[in-house]
Amino acid sequence: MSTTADTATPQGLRERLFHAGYIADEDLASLVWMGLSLERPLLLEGEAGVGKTAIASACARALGRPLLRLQCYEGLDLSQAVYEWNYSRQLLEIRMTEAGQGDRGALRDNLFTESFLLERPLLQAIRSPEPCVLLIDEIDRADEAFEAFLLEMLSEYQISVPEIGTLRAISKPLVILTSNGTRDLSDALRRRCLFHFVDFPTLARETQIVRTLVPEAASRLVEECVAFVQRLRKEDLDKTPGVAETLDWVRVLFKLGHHELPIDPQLLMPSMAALLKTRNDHWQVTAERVGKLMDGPRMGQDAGVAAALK
Amino acid sequence: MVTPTPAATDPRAQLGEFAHYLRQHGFALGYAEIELMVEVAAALPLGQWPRIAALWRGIASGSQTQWRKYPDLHQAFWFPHKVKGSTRTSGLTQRARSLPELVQQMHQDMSQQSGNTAPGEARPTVGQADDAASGDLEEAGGERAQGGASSTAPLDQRDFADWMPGDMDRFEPVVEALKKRLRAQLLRRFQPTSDRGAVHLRRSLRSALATGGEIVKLARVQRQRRQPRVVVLVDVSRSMEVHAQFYLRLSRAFVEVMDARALVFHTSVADVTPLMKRRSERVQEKVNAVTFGFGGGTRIASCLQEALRLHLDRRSLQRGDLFLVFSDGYDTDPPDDLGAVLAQVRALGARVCWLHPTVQAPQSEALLRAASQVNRFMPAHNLASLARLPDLLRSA
Repeated sequence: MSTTADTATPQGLRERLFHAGYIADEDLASLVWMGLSLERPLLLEGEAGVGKTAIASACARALGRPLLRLQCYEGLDLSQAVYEWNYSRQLLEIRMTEAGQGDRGALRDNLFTESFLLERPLLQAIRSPEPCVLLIDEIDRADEAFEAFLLEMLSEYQISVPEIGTLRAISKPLVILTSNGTRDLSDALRRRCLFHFVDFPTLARETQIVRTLVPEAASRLVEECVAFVQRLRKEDLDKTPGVAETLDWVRVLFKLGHHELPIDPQLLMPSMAALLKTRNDHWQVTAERVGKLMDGPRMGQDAGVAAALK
Repeated sequence: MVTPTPAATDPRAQLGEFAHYLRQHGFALGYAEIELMVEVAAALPLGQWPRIAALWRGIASGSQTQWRKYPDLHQAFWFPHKVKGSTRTSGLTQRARSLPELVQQMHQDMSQQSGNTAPGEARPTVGQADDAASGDLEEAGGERAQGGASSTAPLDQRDFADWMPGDMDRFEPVVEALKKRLRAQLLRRFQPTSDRGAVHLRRSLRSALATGGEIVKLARVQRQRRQPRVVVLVDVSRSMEVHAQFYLRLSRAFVEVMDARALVFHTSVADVTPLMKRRSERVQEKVNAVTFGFGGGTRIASCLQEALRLHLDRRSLQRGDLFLVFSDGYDTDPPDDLGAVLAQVRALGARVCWLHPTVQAPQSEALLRAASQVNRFMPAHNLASLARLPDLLRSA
């Protein structure tokens, strides 16, 4: 089965992603296809835990490409993201030449060449002989200066190293940037990317995701859990639970030996730690509140709708 | 399918019209994006043309708001017959406008045509603040409203009391402008940097130990910078009932854009910053719940005192920080107390700014006595007055 042929259409790519363990909706599959065909970076924005990072690893698996990941944080600089000169090796080379074991003329020419360059993820991605998937995770945490640096790399797929010159891409990677929206990204960066907002999945899609990723859990448990989490998301929580939290919760309940949601909310409370991540949320969602969410008029119907749509 | 119009049979021209339509709705689309849209349309297999909306959405949108807005605009432009209540006749490139928009457009058109000679000069209604001192934007430009038309958007001049909930998204650009003007402070402490600043000898020598005493990389340091913090205090007492919700929205913009601290008070004080940080429709309800039982009066001085004691320690209010109070100044505490507490704030080095919903600065006894401790009074009754927020920094 040829990967290239499969990914030539959005539908084919969607199937490949499905086999790679990611259930993408049509819009997302189309966007990834467009990113691949036009060689444009993708900017995925959304709440934490909705599966932004998972898209990148699924793309890597689906396309059979290596995944390079750059985790952004405040104070991230070029020496950690792009390249760094291997000072120790350069010094060793100088010492060896001084000791008469090398050619001084050649040393002058060779000291600042690619062989003394320590490649970091961004440089690795464009100098990789085979195309890869480059994940630049949580770009909103990085400084604006770093964001500005990315502009050259994202539009031209090249990196300028003052001592050498411009290093052009040997292969163009599929670049995926993720952002939690904690700060506004610059318009220049947004313009270079194809934008997708990753929202919480619908009931039917989330059920499908949980079923695929936790196949050992009973079908009824999965449906009821997903229906419960969908209701919980409508509550005014500090941290709305994402798909990752639903998966954790279903796994916990499965390990506890449940085949469906227990009727007594008190039994659920210890496992709620998988869904509620702040003190305020724990305080707000009491056993009584959980009971109300479970009893809510049509939880069985919600689950039934999901079953009908699958 | 797309209805061909006589003016635009070329798909690129039609796409240009679409881009223009999107720009009118706040999308930032350039020629590169239009080219990309054409490219995508060409690359997509013919059988899958319905996917084009999803693909163009990715190209045109740059934020969550635009992402959510796009499908409706796409539908309204390309399939107007499917959208209830709007039609797109041949040659007319714009969506059928709603009545208020149409009126606003007519006003703008009229003002362009009539020039300055039209008779029947009439000033637009700007609510309770409409007196000789308001309407600054129009007067500054030397142009008066003509025949009901105005050279500025009516929303700018409309008093907050007359605003609709949908108009409130316009606070963020105003706060953004203030943020741009707020300069970072240079501190005495140093911090290491990779390639800028002065050479730090001790650090350089220390790092040279790893390379046998040979200094191969110079350690550099530069002075730390600190962005001034903003504390917003909103008076939610009975006398501020009409304006409080707008000031709460405004303080939310401060929290979102400048990471400010937001506190509300009337007879007691509460920190509402965590409530403001989240995009929830229920912020107003929550603030009401927090302040429920405070009573209807106002005790500004003791509330500010309580805020300083309980919520704002020495670290959260330092030299150069902004201490913004949104209040009409009616206080039931002894008149001298307010001056004393504001003096405490000034002693920490913060700048005190008083934003009032009236055009004139409040004339209450407490505030008259405390006036010397306030760096600047500023009216904040409409959007035009908020446009002068950066002026707060000028006098301070």
